[in-house]
Amino acid sequence: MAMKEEKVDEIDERMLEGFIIDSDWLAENYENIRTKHLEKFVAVKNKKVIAESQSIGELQELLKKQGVDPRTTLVDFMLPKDTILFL
Amino acid sequence: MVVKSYGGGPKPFARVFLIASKYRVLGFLHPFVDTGAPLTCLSSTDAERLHVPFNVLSAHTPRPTVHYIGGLSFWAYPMENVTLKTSDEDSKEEEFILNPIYALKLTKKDNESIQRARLIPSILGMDFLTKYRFTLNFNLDKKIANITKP
Repeated sequence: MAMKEEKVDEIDERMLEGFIIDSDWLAENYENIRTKHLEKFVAVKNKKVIAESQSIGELQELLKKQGVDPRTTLVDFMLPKDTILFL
Repeated sequence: MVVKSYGGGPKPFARVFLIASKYRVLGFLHPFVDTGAPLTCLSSTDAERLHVPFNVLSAHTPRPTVHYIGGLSFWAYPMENVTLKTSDEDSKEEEFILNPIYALKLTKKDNESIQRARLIPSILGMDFLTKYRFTLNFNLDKKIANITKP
């Protein structure tokens, strides 16, 4: 059964701290996670990949089913191998 | 900030909470700090994730400018008075206001463009660094990055 989606009207310090911890964890484990989830969006919460999908729309649906708000979740795209990006 | 291997080498990324009250948009962002980018923008995928109301933005800006990023073209819709919250190295919360930040939307909706747009991150550009007189310090050997005031 899906949990009730968390409400986000404002940020508290713990949320930002949690996001930063997840971000550090993803950076530290980036190559490993990228290899496992190549060319997919991944959602990270509490140092875990909790969902993956090739499209951001589908990932949002997967997160909502888990009761997780995509807006307050670290979402990143795992680039294809050997991609050189000129921005 | 965090340094992550992205698109061919280590790059600095910020961690911010974005609030655009006027448009009821908020959420976490992981923008690439790009000293080669003049403007700050919300990638098309982050814009979708944060539920940016493009119908509202297009009513205010019927003729948005076009931004070219990573070989793709995007309509760039300005969002006014956007607050970015972050925390410094001592975990002290800091707040910055940018006016505007641009929300990106692909000009072409073909499958190839959609696939390629997934690679483009949100960008924290020189408008942010200049407004707050920040300097980006980026140590490639140690993979450490931070922004400081002079």
